This record gives sequence, C-alpha cells and structure tokens, in this order.
Amino acid sequence: MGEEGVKLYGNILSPFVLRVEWALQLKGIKYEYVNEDLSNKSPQLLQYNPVHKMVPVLVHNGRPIAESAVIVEYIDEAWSDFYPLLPSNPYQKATTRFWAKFVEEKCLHGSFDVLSRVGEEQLQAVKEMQESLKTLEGHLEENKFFGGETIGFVDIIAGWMPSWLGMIEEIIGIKIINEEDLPLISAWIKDFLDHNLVKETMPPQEKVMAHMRAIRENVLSAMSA
Amino acid sequence: MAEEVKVFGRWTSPFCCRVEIALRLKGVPYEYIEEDLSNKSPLLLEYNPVHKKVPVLVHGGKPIAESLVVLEYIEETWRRNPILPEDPHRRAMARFWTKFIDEKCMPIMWKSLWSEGEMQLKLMEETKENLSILERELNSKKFFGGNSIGLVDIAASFLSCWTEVLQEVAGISLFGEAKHPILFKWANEFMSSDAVKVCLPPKDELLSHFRAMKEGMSATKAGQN
Repeated sequence: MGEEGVKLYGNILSPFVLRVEWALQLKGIKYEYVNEDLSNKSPQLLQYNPVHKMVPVLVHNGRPIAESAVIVEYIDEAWSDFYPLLPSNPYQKATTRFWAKFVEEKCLHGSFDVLSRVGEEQLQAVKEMQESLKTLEGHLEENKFFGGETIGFVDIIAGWMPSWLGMIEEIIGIKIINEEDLPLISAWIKDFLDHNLVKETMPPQEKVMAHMRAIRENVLSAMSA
Repeated sequence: MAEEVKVFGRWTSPFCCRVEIALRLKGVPYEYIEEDLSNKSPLLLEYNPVHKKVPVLVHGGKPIAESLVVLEYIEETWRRNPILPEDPHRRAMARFWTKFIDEKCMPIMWKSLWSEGEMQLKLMEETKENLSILERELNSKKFFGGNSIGLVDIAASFLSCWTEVLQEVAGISLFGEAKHPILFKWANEFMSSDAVKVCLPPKDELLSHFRAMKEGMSATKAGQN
C-alpha cells in the first residue's frame, strides 16, 4: 500500500522544523505532524534521514526529504500554483538564495557563537552578529518583509531570529539588537512576530528558553572541564 | 543577442572550478578574470561587497556570488544539458547531497589536511566516513546525476585533483582506490570528461601552490613559538 499525503517529523524545540511548518501553512498544505523525542528517535526518522538523523524530515507520498532549506524549496516546487516562496525570475531567485545562505552562515552560526562564548570573546561575537545584521538590513530596503509585502523564502529562513535572538539576549544579559542601530531589522522583527501565522505557530517560550539555557550550560561546563 | 558572461575566479579554487564546469557543460561562452586575492580588484569588491570572494558570475552586468547559488542560476538561465532533474523530489535530493558536500565533506576534509595529532586523526576518520556515505549514494551510477554530470558531481569536483594534491602535501591518505573504489572510479570518470578536464588546474602547479601555503603556515607557527 502506498503512503499518501504529507507528514512532517519534528520537535517543538526546533526552529528548523518551524521553517517547514510556515512553508506548508502559507501554501495551505494539509499535513500530519509527527512529534519526535530527540533523545529516543523513532525507527522511521532514522530510516528517513539516515545521514543526519535529525528533524525536520518531510515525507511526501512516502518519499522523504531532509534539511529545512531544501525542504522549503521542495515545497515551493511541488506546490507551485499557490503562494510562491521564491521569485520566478532567475536573477531575483539567485539574490534570494544568496541572502538565505548569508542568514545561515553568518547569523545562525554567529548566534551560536554568542550563546556559547564568555567574556571578551562573547562581546566580539555580539559585535560580529550586529555587523551581520546590519549587512542583512541592507537587503530589506524599504520592504515590510524580505519577500516584499508578504513573507517569502528569506523571511522563513531568518524567521527564528525574532524570538530566538530575544531569548539569547535574555540568557546572556546583553542586548544584540538596538533599535537605533538596526531600525529596519527591528521593524521587521515586530512585523514578523505580529503575523498571524507566526503567532499561531510560536512554540511555548518557557520550554525553548529552558532548552537554550541547557545548551549554554553544557557548552560552559565543557569549556571548564 | 546574448548578454556578456564574466567569471571572476582564482585558479586554485575548486569553488570557481564548479562555475566554469557548469558553463562549459552548457556551452556558454564567458570571459574569465583571474583575481589576486591578496590584492582584490575594485570590480570584485563592487560585485561582491558582502563577502569580497570569488567566484562571482556577472551576467549582463548583474553579479551573482556563492558558487552553489551561481550553479542554480546557470541551470535556470541556460537550459541546455540540464544539471538538475525535472522531478521536485529528485531535485531536493540533489540539493541535499550538495549541502552535505559543502557543509560536511569539504570543510572537514580541509580541516583534517591542515591539523595535527589527535585532532587530525579524529577529522580523518570523520572524512573517510563522509566519503563512504557519498559513495553509498553514488552506488552503481556513472555520475551522481545519473548518466550525465549533475549538480552533485559539480559540487564534488574538489575530489578530483585537489584531494590528490592536498593529501600529498599533508602526507596523509584519505581518499584512494583501496578505501573508496566506487568514488575513486567516479573521480577518474569525472576528471576525464570533456567539460571538466579543460577547467581543472594543472596538478604540478597546484602542488607547488599548496606546498608553499603549508610552508608559509609552518613558518608562521615557528615564528609564534
């Protein structure tokens, strides 16, 4: 018997899973959400993502896809007749992909550096993060979202930042985003968090905070070991 | 009337090689501009202000940076000899493997070549495992793309002369016929194909380049002690 439909293997703590949920919901795609206990991964997850053994994994008609950015592009191509997530013009599409990559490499890794360092090194990581955000801000121009009037691919890829950066700021006790220095990013954060889809899919903040604190504690204790 | 295509590159870079291979495969004429990375041209800095790196493709005066972003742009703009399949799931799989190469295989192999002691042994083991994973994906196909060269093959072009040269410079063995026979066969097939062989740098010059780089690093280390 063939496996029909769309299944998403995920976990509420993962901002990468959220990316896929946003893409599916923006396109109005019905899906079954399968919650994974990451300390006790299911045989299905291990079968569907043997290389990384991570969430999210999307399974469409029995065929699995892993890696959130790859999944979001797949969703855009497989359901191409409604709500395009990437522009159709090749040059604009390339620009979109460029900035999505920038978010992954500079902002995502940068935020981990901020969370996992101490003292001078942490301050340096904060400064670099602010520089990356300033560069990213240039791509927003005067638009409400990176996708223009509506949420697009870069918004989805960067969508962890509004809440997760806020949580990191609270945990480390240092402000990363100052409205005077990053006015456009600050405005984007407000608009993004105000979007109905984001409000409806927001994971329970206390659980995510606890998880982030645990990450920092683990890193710090590994450093002093 | 076809718009002008330029490639800003560095002959020692496998990332730049990717772009040239794709253009050659599709029969796209282009002008190649060699960059001195210790003295970057004003044009390069204007075309890639964010990263200031090569490769940059400039098509009709419009620049695109980041080799994988460039490859997808080339694919969408020049449809001859496609490097991605039509089917969205197969396209997603190609992107998944390209990401695996870029984020795991290449950086870990690179680190293993330049590190020492315990760390080097650990990275070497991880590299060999990553290559085995790639090999299982290749399986009995001629190329990762099937019967013809595709996106994943082009992304994996570092496994051609670069890996051979760097192993020699580092004095370690990571990739060879004995350990990864299927992948090794692929590398030879890939290197001897028409579009690829004209793009590869001469092995002896690449060897001198990386030997000099290693000597420079050792001298810096000795100076620091």
